[in-house]
Amino acid sequence: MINRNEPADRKIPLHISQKLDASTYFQEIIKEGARLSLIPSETLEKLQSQILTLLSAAFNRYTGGFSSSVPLETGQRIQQSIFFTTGYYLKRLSSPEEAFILLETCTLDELYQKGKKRIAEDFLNTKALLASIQKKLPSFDVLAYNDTLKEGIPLFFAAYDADYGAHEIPGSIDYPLSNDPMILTGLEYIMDYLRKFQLENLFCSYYPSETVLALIRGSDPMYREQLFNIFDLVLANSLASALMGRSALNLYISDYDQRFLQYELGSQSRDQIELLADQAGCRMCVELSIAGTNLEHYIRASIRKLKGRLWHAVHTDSLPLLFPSSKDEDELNTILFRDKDHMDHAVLRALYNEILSCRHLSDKLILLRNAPLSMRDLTDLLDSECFFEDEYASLFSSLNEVELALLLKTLPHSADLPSLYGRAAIRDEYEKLRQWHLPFLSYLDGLELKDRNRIEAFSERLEISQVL
Amino acid sequence: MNGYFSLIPAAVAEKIAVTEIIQCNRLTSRFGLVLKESDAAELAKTRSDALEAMGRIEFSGGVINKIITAFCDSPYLNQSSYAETLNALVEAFYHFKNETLDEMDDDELIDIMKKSFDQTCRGSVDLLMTRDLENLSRRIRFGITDLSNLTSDLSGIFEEDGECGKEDEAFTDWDIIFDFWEEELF
Repeated sequence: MINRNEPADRKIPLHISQKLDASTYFQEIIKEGARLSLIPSETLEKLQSQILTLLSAAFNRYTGGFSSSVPLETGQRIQQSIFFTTGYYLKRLSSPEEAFILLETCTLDELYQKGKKRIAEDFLNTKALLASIQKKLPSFDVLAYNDTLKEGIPLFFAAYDADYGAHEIPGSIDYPLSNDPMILTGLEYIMDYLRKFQLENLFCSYYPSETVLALIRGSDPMYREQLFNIFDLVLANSLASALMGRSALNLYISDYDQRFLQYELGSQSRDQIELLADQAGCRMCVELSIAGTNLEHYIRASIRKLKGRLWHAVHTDSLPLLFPSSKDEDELNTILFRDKDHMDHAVLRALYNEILSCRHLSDKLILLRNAPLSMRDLTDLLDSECFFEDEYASLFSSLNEVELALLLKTLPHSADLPSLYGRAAIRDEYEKLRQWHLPFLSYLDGLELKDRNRIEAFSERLEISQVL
Repeated sequence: MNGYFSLIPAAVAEKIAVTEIIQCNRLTSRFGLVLKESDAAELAKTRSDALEAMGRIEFSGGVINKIITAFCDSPYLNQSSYAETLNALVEAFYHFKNETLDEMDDDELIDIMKKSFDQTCRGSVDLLMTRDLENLSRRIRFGITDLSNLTSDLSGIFEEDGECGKEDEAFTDWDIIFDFWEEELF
């Protein structure tokens, strides 16, 4: 009970955060209310029996009245859903104090029904928000980004169960946000995710999409299938630009810039680096005219995370990973190779036996060229050693440039060394090698430099689809 | 379990259950079966223990009442073993509710339990649990809709069993195999 003798301006400290998920918020309201005697004991007892009634009614609806008991997991799920729905309504009141008043004056069922109504409204609003985001979705060629927005989140709206699973998040969300503590649940999480996603897109829209794409390409050659946040990438380079006194609208950071920043920041303490990053962040917000907006708050929260990464990158001399250089489309336009359907195992085995039984190399090559082999089948045949060592040169010369580039792509690679030299470096690691690998490298060595470079460059651009 | 449902007063739920069980005496006394308050409390406790052990939750004493009402006219129940049998039946009910994957309604399961108890098990709860209800849950898990004759197990019920049997029979006939070898191989 509130002590009426206390001065009116003295506030009791409440430990209830608005950041809690709705289900926990409801439980915390009751716990804190009981702890600070803000909910009278008779109201607490009334609440307990009302919860019991509400749960019984929900279980009855769930089982259709045919079963009086349910597995614990189902019970927990329904209970969480009820707490979530009630908490969802209470959380959206102007203050927790108002929630205490409502808990005294209304029945729990009334609050639950109001929560359901609110969820139904927000469900439609969130669906509309998704539609508006989808309409303006920039064409970044990143799988997780596109799949989450076009397929994963729409699944949520198809499968969301507001009656018994209001706190659940069906659907598939792969694309990571810059600031996602993942505390919220249910519809609240999706709403929050989409709002943040919209803010991130808004920030990226300050930059030409070609510039952002070039930066994405520069961050990782396999960027299409990687899980990374585009906003973080743009923000980092924009901040780096501001750190060097340039316009925050510039995203291009050269090798020289990276070295210069390493030199400039290398001698600074962690606090100084963080202060410089904050100042650069302020300049960026002023330049983009976003001071005081939600976007500024979001950027500031992301910069708080980025500061730690910046200090770590300076400390470990790895700034190029944090501030990657942009790569133009022409410079590295990867080609996605999708392999043909694999040959049936029995047919491939028959072909292998047939090749093995051939007396002349020319017959072997005819068999090989006439079979509808996928690249996987070709490498399988090569791995299975149905050619002799002196036959490899003729075999490779019968392959075209694309096939040679694909074979080169499948070779084990020494990560520290680029391209062909990297592959040559593995020559000593016999355990990784197949019989045809060394003849293949020797064959490439024997080609004219111009041809070899072309195959090598082609191989670099190739990206083999997961099917292979 | 208590952690998840800490806002629900377990004592209140148990008290309601005891009252409901005692009310059943009005019906069962006709058959010479009466539960004392201590028996009812024990039954309510058996229910909560069984629920906890089976990982289930319930919000009324409804099932105990249904079991009492269904079993009270059984010729195999008498006052001396009434409370003990009821405890075992309540435990069995929740166990097989899980084992039958919640596919059966409360009433359906109680009905089958009663029929087996009175007919094939002749009042033996042990036999009911270890044979009939085990066979019932196996049938439900395998998606078999024929729930009659729960005294027999599932052997021979699948088509594959029959085919395997035929194959075994064919290959034990060694003369046929030798003939086949002679014809095909030599």
